[in-house]
Amino acid sequence: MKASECTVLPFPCMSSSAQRRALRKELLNASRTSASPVVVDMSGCNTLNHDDVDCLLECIAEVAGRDTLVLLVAGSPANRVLLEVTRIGSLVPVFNSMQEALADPQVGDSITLKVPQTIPSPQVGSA
Amino acid sequence: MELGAFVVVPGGEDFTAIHEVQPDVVAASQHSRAMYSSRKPIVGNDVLQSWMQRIRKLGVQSLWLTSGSVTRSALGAFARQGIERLLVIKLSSYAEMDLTDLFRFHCERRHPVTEAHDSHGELGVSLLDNLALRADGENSSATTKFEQVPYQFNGYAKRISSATERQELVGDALTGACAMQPFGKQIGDQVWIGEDVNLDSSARIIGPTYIGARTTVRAGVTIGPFASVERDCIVDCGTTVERSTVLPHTYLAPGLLIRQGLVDGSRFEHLGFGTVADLQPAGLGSRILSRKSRVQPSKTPTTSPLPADSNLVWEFAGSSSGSQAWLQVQL
Repeated sequence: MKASECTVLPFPCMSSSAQRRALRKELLNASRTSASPVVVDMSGCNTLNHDDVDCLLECIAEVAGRDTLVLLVAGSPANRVLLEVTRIGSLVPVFNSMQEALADPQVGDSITLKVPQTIPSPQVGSA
Repeated sequence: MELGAFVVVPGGEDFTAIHEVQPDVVAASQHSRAMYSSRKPIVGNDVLQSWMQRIRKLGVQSLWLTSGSVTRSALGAFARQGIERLLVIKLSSYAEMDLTDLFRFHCERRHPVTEAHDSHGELGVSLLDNLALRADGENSSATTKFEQVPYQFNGYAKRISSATERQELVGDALTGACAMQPFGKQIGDQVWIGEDVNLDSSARIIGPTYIGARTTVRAGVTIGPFASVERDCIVDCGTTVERSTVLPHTYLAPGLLIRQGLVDGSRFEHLGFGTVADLQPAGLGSRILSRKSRVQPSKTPTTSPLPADSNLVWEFAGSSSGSQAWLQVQL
């Protein structure tokens, strides 16, 4: 994939239903406006609860069938295990860290991060 | 020369909880305990019983059971009662060891302490002479102060406190690579089930696999290969369990993928990642507690015989070593 703009969506951990709706909306917007990859960053979440898993599944269902590449940054080994147990890991690529995700050949060597303003910024080291 | 046998269940586990006798009590008492209890079954087998059978071959009439750590002074109290040699087994491994050979080795070498080793180190099986217990050393462990002669064991052994080795033992038991036999009825090629298993007709069971007694396997579930779902579990619709062990009294939610893991209630250890995750907050798994088990279990040891071996009679005897609680088991 050639150099592109990558959208990073921080996952609203332990969030309200309004925040989860906001994430779904952002994800849908990102997939509509361009075919560039979207990274859902769960680095701020220590663990996932029932609502978090539901939200992730809904988000993945929203973009299913589109050209947009969705990637998950698990943020913690426990989250990675939970993503595998729930089979989310077999639906979308999962990475341990943002650096690992950005280094993936599917994302591209040189990318620009775009973080939507409607949800809090993720804790990303460098773009 | 009198030989005494002592089995130490590690980690302060409730050694009186005999898994096949009082499953409800075990479920309650182990709720907050560390994972991989040595008393949790492996393809329906209790590792303690396998050691008891080996001890019986030595001609020993009874053994003493305790939990936690054992000091030299605690064992010394038994030595003062006339026991001249003590076989001490820490219940942390499964080893197909000929204890007669260990005993012969110990006698020939004439060292106070002999410790069994395999290629990975100590197996937690040692023989001590009365001499080794004469020294005071209240705070020292039973085998540290004397020079230990290693008895090299080259047979089959696995450390059951490790999730990975435990899973390897499951695989070996299912494929006949070790002497442990799955505790149940064989219903297919390398497929065993325990009593009263509720198996949905749409479930796929792929050998080698073991499903323990009273476990419910719901529609669309796939179990195996190299899977062991122990007794009293519920595997809900569409879940897959492969190359994994599910310990007793575990509920698994619908649609999960349990691969290369060990599940105990809501705790899941991924053998590949080496990570433990809590399944409870996401509603993916939990401990099954029956009505009976919500009542605090009695601390009084049972006198009921084990169903798997009606010759075993459990008797409670007061400790002669102060605060250490001992259970005497007639073999």
